[in-house]
Amino acid sequence: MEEQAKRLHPFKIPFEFWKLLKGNVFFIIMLYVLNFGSEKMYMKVLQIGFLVYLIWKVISVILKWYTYKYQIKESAIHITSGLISKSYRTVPLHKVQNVQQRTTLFHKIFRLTSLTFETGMTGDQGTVLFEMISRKEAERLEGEYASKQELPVIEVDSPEERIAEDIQPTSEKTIHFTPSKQDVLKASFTSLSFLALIPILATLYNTLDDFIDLENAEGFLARLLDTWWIITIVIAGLICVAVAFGIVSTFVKYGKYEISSDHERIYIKKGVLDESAFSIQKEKVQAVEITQSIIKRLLGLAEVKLISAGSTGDEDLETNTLYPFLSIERAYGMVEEILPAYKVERSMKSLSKQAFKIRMLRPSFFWILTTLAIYYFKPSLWYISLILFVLIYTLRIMDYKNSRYLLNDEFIQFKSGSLETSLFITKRSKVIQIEVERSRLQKFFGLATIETINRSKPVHHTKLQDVSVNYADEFYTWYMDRTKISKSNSNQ
Amino acid sequence: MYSKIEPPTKKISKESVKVWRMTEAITNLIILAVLGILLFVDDYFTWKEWIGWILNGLIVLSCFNAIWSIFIEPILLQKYWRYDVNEEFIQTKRGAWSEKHELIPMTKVQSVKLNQGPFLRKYNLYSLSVGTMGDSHDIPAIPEKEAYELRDKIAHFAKIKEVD
Repeated sequence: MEEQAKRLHPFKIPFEFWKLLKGNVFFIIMLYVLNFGSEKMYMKVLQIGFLVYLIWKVISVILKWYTYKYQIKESAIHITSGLISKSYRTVPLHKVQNVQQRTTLFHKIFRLTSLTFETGMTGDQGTVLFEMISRKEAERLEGEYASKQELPVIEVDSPEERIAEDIQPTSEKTIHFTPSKQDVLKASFTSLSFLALIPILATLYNTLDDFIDLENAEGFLARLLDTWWIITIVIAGLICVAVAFGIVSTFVKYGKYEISSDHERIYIKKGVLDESAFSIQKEKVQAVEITQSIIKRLLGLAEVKLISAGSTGDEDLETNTLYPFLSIERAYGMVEEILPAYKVERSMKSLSKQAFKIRMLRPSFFWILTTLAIYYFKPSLWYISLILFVLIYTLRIMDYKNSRYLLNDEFIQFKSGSLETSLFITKRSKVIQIEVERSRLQKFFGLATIETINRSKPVHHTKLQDVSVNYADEFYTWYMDRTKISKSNSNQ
Repeated sequence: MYSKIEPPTKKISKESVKVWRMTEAITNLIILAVLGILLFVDDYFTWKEWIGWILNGLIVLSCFNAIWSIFIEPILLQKYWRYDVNEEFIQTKRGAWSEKHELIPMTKVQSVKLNQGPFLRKYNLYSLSVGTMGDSHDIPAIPEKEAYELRDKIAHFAKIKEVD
């Protein structure tokens, strides 16, 4: 399976030039436009110096492209780069945690894309990025990666899952979700995207104000606004524009969503103008997180996130998120559909009365400090202390009500949060460490705090406060048993 | 807790109290010296009044902190620190006021390391740090022979089951 080492698409060069130009536009204008033909000595030195720098950059861009070669052989990515000091990098494919593909509008025009393989390693070395490659090449690389995955991977907790996967063919893909028009509408209202028009209108007003004297036109406007029907029309018009704007912007962001999976992996594709795709092997999903903001809770929607050990790129892109506006029922169902190895139990245990007491008694240092500060500096603002007190206790009660937990076979489920709730589900074999903590107050009430740590970037800590101490004990034993099962498996 | 599992029993060296006392004494001395110099400079150049107040306050606070961290904290730390290592797990337990229990599976251990600073060297002690995929965990102050044995033991156990 020997293949030639390849370079990135030549389009990488103009793309880098463009980046160079963008980065130095200020200096270029300063030196060569505003001060063109200047008689001053230092200006001439600067102009020549900067020109040399630019030429050096241009040459280095070309050389970098020329010397950067990659190749997949023996199930590893090999990258050579550098002209004078050469560097060789080898990334074993089985260490890759997830794959991301991003196609911006620029990429699209030239039928290119950028592909990222993420490993779980910390630092910059953890990411293998192919910034400019043709779509075909990206497909080939992903295919190569996918085909190399049938290596025997040692799984601690559930080998039966792997065996099942090996038997079935891996090619057929099932699509689990694409948003309907209704979904887009719902999403645009839930995300309050129509409010995004307000800052745009404000900037528009400001720019208009610079050209036309809107302040003096007030008299005319006032007369205009006197007639009620004009006001109604204007407001109605504005609302229509805002809603339309919201829908369009939501459509651009979430319109072309597609969640699909085959036996091996899960694919999430999205974006109308800028496309992004994320794929992860099912067994490399470290955990699943279902979050609900307060608005989503009122509307019965939820957001499902797959937690990967590798980095998932830009936070704003939400590459690892299944559609963020799924109905809660669909969200639960989807998790079981795409991850058959996962079981999500709906009914979970809530916290005890003791936990409620401790939460009411636990002193809030934030409140005490603010109150002291108010008392000392500005006693007339006493009501702020009162408002803060009510707020803190409301949040505490909400968190108490929302907290749930469950040990379900080899799965653990935690749910907590006051305004935004988050349900965290993970498998025992994916938990890399656990902690139990008991403060004095908790000892008095017979409670404990339990915590799991999962691989992710950064490491994912999940905590649940004030479960009963018996449960903490059970939790400890549950985790201890992880190896017992694997032992019996290895005997099979 | 610990209805079905043995709690960790191994203690760290009693000498650790002395080591901590020395390091704490030096750090606190440095802090006090810096604050003292600042106070002197404040007096000499007649800075604003509130700066003097803050400096005085900080000196009082660091005196309390020094008493706590030199005389009381090391004893408590040593007294309540427990650890245990077996084929499958590293267990640690610590804290007098609030108790913290950690359970780290051997399969997730990536590295073991022994460290020795000048004070630890004086008493022939080592601190052992275990690196996992997430973070690293320290077991402070173990006698030399035990430390080497423990390091080799963890390295051996961690190697047996290699998983992703």
